[in-house]
Amino acid sequence: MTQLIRIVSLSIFIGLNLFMIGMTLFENADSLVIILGFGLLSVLVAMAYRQHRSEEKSHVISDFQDVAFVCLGGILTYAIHVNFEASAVIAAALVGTIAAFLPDIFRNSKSAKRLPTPVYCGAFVGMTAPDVASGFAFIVLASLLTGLLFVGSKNILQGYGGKLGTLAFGGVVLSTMLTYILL
Amino acid sequence: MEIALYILTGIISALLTFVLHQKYKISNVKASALPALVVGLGFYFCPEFLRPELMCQIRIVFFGASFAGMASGHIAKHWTIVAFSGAVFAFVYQNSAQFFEGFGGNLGATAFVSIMAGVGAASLLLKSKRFRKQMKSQNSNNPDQS
Repeated sequence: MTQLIRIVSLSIFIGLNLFMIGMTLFENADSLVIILGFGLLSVLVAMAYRQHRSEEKSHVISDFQDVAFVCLGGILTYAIHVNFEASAVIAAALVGTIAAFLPDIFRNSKSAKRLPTPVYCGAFVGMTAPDVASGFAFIVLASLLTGLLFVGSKNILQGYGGKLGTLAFGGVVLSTMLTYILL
Repeated sequence: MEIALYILTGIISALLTFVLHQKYKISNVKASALPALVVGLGFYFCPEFLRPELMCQIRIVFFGASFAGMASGHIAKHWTIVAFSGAVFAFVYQNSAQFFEGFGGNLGATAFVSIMAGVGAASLLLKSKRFRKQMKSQNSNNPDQS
């Protein structure tokens, strides 16, 4: 089961990378510099994936606490971004900074220790522009999906910068697709 | 000219986060979010420091490149990998598809591709060095063939 989750999560990561690079090439099909640059980028990314080693930690129920933390980060960031007209960068950085200091304040709390990473991941979901996210319901859906991806990907790509953002991107893309199909 | 400024911003941001996290042992979330908040608020309170469009882009590049700097030491084994990733981030961000504008996590996904490119480039370089070393040792073992 753990291996299946790992394979699915890794496939989602590779799919998102291909989607991003593919869309960029599609939009800039007439620019040689971009085609060559992104072509080289694809080769380097593929080489990095070949090097990647996964871990063998089993999934436990308490991992799902992270889903709630991702939702918290997403909703808070989106609320600050929309209601206080702060830029998405300031909103996400503020939520991330506050979350990062919580373990220093609540030193004995186990939940506070694991809170910063999922909340920061959720903050990226909350950076979604209001014209993409149709409201808080979209952010909650995107955060839930991101949270599930967060839990599912805990054994892969550990320590790679941008992993949290890619998870958030995956959650937002999936939610956009779902709302497009269902509504 | 502007792209050079973005690349410089990307390199500085990624390295700053990496150094804060690796050398000063500050948690990676704090090392990324705190400098981004300082830069974001700095530009917010000094709106006439640069052109508005330039300030907006620099703020975004600074924040996004800091995700690349969140890489752990066992992935980015040398600071040059992080610096390279910061530069790649600025290039990719400036040229990435307009389709994803406003999508949350877009910056992080770009940073992820950038750090992967950095790791890939490092492994390519290492392989070519090993290959050259192998060729050299083969040539020294069989001097007649060379």
